[in-house]
Amino acid sequence: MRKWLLKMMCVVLILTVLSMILTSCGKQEKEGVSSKSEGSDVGETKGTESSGGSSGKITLTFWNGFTGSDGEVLRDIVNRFNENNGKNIEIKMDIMPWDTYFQKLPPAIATNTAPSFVLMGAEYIPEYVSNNSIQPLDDFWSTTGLNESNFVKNVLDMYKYQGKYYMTPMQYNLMYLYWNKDLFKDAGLDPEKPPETWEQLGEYAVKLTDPSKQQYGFGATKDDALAPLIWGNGGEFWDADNQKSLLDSPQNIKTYEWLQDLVVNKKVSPKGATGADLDNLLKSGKLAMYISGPWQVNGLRTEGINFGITAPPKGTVTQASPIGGCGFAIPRGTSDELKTAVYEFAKYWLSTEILKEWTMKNGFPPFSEEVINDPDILNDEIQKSIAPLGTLGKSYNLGIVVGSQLHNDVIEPMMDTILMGMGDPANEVKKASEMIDQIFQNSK
Amino acid sequence: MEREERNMKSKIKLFTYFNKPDKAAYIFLLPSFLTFTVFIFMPLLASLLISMFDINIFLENISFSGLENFKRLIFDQRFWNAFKNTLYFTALEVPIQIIFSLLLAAYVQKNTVFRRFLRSCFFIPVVCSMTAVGIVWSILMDPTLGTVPYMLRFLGLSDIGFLKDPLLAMPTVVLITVWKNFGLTMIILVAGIQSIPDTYYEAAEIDGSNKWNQFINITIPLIIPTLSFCTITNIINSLQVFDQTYVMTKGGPVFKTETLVQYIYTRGFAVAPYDLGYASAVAEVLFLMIAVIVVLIYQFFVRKETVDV
Repeated sequence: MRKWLLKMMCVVLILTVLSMILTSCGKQEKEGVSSKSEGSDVGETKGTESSGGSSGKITLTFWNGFTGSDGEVLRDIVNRFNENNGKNIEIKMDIMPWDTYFQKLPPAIATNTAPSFVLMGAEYIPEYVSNNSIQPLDDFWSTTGLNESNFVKNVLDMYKYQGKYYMTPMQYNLMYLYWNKDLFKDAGLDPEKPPETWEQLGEYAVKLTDPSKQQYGFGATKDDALAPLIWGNGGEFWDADNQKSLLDSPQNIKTYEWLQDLVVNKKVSPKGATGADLDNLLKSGKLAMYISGPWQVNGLRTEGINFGITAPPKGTVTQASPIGGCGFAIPRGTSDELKTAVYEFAKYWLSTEILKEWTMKNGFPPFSEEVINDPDILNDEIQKSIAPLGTLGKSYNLGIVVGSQLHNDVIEPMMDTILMGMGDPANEVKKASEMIDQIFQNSK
Repeated sequence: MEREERNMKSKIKLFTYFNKPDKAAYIFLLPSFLTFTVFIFMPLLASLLISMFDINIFLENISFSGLENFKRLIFDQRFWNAFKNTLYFTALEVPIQIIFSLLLAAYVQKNTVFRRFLRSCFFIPVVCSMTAVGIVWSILMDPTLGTVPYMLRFLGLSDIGFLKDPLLAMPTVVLITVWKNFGLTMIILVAGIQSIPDTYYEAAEIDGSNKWNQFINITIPLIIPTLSFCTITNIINSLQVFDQTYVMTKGGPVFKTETLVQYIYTRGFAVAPYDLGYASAVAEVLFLMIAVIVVLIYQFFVRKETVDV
């Protein structure tokens, strides 16, 4: 009797496992495209199997690093495109963290297993072009019939390299000064008046710092968010055209000395904090002032922080902010047919409806005339503050083949040393300047 | 017909050949030999080759550069910094882990219920993934959000940066690594200690020797082979340290925790110009360094064993 029971239990167990395997297989089938195209990761054209469709189904694979809340909006837009494009194009999107993305993409391109198209920062164009890894997209405007002059020229220029387009526009941004209005009020400052000069920012930061509450006046990062400080005081990082360093200048040394005093001696910024740490502090209402891109807007709104957003402060000489942006790029292995399909999506992206949605939901400034003049955009609180700032945009490391290397290998370590108080700015600037020249020299 | 017969004969010959125990061993070795060749030996050779090329991850513009990558290495400050950090990590991690595990092993080796329970508890971190452990500890140690600095503030110790502090970052990483790995070393040592016959201890007790003397004069000399195994594997693991620094510090602050493997990763895979050739050159140096250190340590233990016997 017991043996019989045991046998029955085994049979039931095996049946359950089998049915689970079968159903999971079935699901994959239902999800559409066969697993073959997933494995190879290269978009492929399927034969004319669908009923009614005049041409076959085109599957595009698409990688990007939008892991934040903006990724949700992007997914939503891609899904809508898949449903409504009318040309039987299906985009299979794969979102992964940027660092994973940049590890996977180069070898994928080299081994011909890259996705049909990708999203990437415009600063990567020269590097990928010099390695023959992305295609020129000069025929984008003529193929899609879109009017080039309908978009802000400054923004479009970002996607060009050596006179050719290598990306189609997706979003652009400057760096902005965020300030926490509640913390300003508590410190006895006018919550509607952010600092206008760096000098003022320094004074405010000291007032806004309260160690007992783990509250900091200003978040100093090692990324390009502090470029406005250097530029503002009349300094420069490098001369990209002549490939030489301009870092070792008296005004830069003075600027970095001022910054070091503010961070190390006056302790207005948490020691050794990374960008992610500062983002968290800002979102938890413990950071009074911070320079960052529009991607903070969504998170701050969700956390209910009472914040304002404006231009980075003026320096003693001028006011400027680094411009950056993402675009759609097509790896070299993508066929012409798939490229045309990618153009369809890029065109869809540039429609007023989608650009407006992206601007409203994520806070990125608009760059098409129609969206800029849209009444909803004109009345949006965030856009009212940042839309007029477009003229402040200045390139930090765009259009330089070794741009990301200069930033990662020289500027970041130098900023780290200065902000940790582990080196004298004059010394560090000199060392960094020599390294910049060396990197330019090697790239020739 | 004749052909079939010949086929049969050669088959039988093959069977009888491999049926001898010393020949059959090759068949049993084959799977691991194959995996070893494909995943260890060939990559080793490949990286040696790659280190002599100017090659990036896009596999474009490849050119032979001879020993250029190795020459560049000599003048690369960041390489020497990583070299120093790796040695510092090893010099701190290995002794702490071995001594700590040895003392605990001596305590938990008795098979009582409580001590067996302790053994299981100490083993838990070994089972966890280093990534998960790293993330949890970096949150716990975070100067602004973490529990540990918060508790320390009650003791009047404020402003301890742990992983954010240039001086404390490496020792913190070492302590977390020890916490994660001591369980395994301890279990191996417990097995070593338990294999020592009780008679030695009984004899020592009759002679009036106390626990400490027994530990120094009986336990340690008799587990030298186990100790040498633990030390050598620990040294190899320490020289290849990567996961913990990658997850917790990314080599910072100011490169204070950048180790050789982290540097190889950064140069080859993380930042432009994705210099695979140079990264491979660093990997070759690391390989040589591990080989030399391990041979030296191994000989030290072999001499120790023979002297003791």
